[in-house]
Amino acid sequence: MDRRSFLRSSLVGCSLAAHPVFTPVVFASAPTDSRLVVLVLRGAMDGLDAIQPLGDPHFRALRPRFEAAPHDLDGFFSLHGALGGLLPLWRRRELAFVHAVSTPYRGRRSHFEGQDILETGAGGAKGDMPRDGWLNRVLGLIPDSNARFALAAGHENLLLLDGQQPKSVWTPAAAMAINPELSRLMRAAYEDDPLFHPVAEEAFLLSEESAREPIAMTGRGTMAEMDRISSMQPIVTRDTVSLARFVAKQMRNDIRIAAFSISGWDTHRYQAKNIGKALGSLSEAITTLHAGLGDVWNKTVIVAVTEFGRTVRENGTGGTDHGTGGAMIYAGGAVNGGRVYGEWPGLGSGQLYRDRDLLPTRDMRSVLAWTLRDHLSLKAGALERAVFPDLDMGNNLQIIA
Amino acid sequence: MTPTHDTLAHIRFGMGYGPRGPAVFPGDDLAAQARRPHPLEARYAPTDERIAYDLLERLRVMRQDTSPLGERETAQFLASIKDRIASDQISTIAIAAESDQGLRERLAFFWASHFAVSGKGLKLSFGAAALVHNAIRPHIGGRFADMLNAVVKHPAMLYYLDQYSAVGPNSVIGRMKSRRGLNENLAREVLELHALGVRGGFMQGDVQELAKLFTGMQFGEDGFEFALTKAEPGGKTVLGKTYGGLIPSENDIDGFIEDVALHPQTARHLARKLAIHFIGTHAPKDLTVHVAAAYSRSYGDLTATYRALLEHPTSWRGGLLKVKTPVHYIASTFRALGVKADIIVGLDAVERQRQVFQPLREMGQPLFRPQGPDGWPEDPEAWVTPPALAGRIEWARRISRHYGGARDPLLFAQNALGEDLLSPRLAALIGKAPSEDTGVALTLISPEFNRC
Repeated sequence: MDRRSFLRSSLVGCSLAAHPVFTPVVFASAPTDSRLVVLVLRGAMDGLDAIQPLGDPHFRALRPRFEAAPHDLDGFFSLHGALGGLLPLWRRRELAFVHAVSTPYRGRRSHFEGQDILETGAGGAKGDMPRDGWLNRVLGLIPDSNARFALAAGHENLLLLDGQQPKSVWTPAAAMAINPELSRLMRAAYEDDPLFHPVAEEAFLLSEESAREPIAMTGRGTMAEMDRISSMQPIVTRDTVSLARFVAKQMRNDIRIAAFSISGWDTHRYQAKNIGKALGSLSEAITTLHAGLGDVWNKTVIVAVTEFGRTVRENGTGGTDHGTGGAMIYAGGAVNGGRVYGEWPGLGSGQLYRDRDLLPTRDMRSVLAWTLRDHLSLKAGALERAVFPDLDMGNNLQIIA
Repeated sequence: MTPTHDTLAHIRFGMGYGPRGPAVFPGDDLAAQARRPHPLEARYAPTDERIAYDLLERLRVMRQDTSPLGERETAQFLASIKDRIASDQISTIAIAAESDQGLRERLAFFWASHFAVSGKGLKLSFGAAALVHNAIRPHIGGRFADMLNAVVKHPAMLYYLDQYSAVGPNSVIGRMKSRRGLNENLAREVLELHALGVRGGFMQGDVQELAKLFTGMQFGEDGFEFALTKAEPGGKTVLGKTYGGLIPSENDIDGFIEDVALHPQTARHLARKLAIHFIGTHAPKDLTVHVAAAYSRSYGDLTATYRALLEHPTSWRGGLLKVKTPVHYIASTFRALGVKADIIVGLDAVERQRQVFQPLREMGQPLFRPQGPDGWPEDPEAWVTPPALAGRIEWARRISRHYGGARDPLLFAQNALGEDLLSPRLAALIGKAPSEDTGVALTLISPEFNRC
């Protein structure tokens, strides 16, 4: 058995004694053909800027110094210039948006709390927040899913996929730059340790498979990059494209569910420049996934979610502050695209949330639940009980084809 | 080969060997380290809480000036604050790398994880390091009740678990502003994480009553304050005992903390956590029972508790089944390479990121940023994932090039691991290494060096 099939049939971290190296193994075919990619946009993406409600009579007056989005979508909403790269998908009906949605989170508008609630799928009452991610609970509902089925891509821990169900964890940025001779010696150092050995093998193999995009190790480049990681500052990762390429490649193999995060959305100041960069990164991630998935695109759903939206009014520093209602972005061949879904509440006085935010008219989790039901064939009951606590699924928007 | 007593003392219960071999433990009493602060701790003390408070206040005021000059000055000031925080945080690694009191350093990390505060945001980034220095270190060898008291009242904890803004519904302020009220976060975590444990037999009612008891705790520019106007009046019954009366006081809270610290469930919870941390999840029940008994008998004296752990035969049986956390791994590597504290603290901003902060993120343990108040995982599998292991390997490769220098890699292995842990396989591999620094790297990446 060659090394590649050895690794494909192994579970990360399982003991050497259980290894199928010396016994013939028929690798179980993947439990489903459908692919799902969840993108966590960290920092609170401004849905009102990404997908502008130019058709709403109150909108422009709320943000007089912001530019109007150039790409009309449906006569009411228009697309931000930095997402222009996605217009071909819009025209092919493989891109959709859901507006005026949010998680159940209300209150402090804290990034950290908000992201925890976003990723754990919590119902709202702070004390009852689950400790694992909703996507990990989804894995528990899929028969025969194993570590080669789901991928948490990236360095930072992804709470969204944290939990009891096994998954793969990798990022091309983790790829080691070690020559083959030294690699051989190092791998040999792990051979006797049942915990380290299979993990080391996987690490070296994945290193070979993924290209490393070196982070500039000199001066300001490093600081900017490091700063980005430790804050929500809008300095966008260069890893996003290589991450997307890597995820696409894995999804053509065994991976069916993947997730990674994109930072840089916290646009308190100079929003025009900063959201432009972040949206550009998101656009590149989606187009890179599209290119890499090839014929598998038809069975793919990509959904981008964020912890909350931003204030309807611009602030005094050319940006916006933390809000409530926001937008979701859907892309993929399995999406009923070419539409902006959701019930628009309006932006007149009396129509806002706390007179400052876009009013959410739907629980984001219910939209996700319908996606999981339609795309992965999961049962509504299980989604309302096990995956999203205290969820009322409501009606189906039919986002999934 | 079964590790010797000396090796276990240094590796299972310490920060590993330095370049000159074993440290000397006076009178062979490992546990005595717990009461003895090392001079390095004072030398590299983090920013005082009140100074941090002032700096953040100044930042807040500066941010109100949105002129271009004002923004530039704010950006510079913010950068200087972040630099100070990074320096505070890296000091914990520096002290652990050089102090010859390995057990005390391990215990500092243990309690920091037990009382985890996640440094998200500037306030907490300052506070997390300060909490370890001011609320944990002074009590590592003392009474658990004193440590719990100091931690619960620390600004970082009060802020992290939202206690500082809580208001008793019937307090003076509570009756004026109907919007603010109780917050159960700290109360729940004290019962569930800090003292009794998740199966410690407390009820939701206890959490609610404790939340009432904790009202009034806040902090200001002079540190901890008890605000009478926010505190809930009347008796609060927690775990069957009533604290406080018509006029609430800080003493009521102190009374509860004393009682919960001495609760038998707390003894069991802490004993189990210590056993798992040093020995592993397979630690036998009789070890936990033995340690819990010592805790209770000594009224929660931690030195006596550690001594009970250290005198149990299980502690000296071979088989290092745990994996060093990334922080432990990095500190023990610096230690083995003889990199002193002042070098680590003296690293410039870029090198700090390259040599410590970024590798810790890649290994899965961003410094002072655990996922939640339950701290860092104990199970080895949590730390040994493909990207986390790749992080260790890449870092070991770079650090051995940087500090490995001209040294005999086999000698390095013998010093770092002790003769008993260095396997013939690893020694043979080191012999095949193409250069001295790659030979050093082989030791650093080995399972032998990564386990504890």
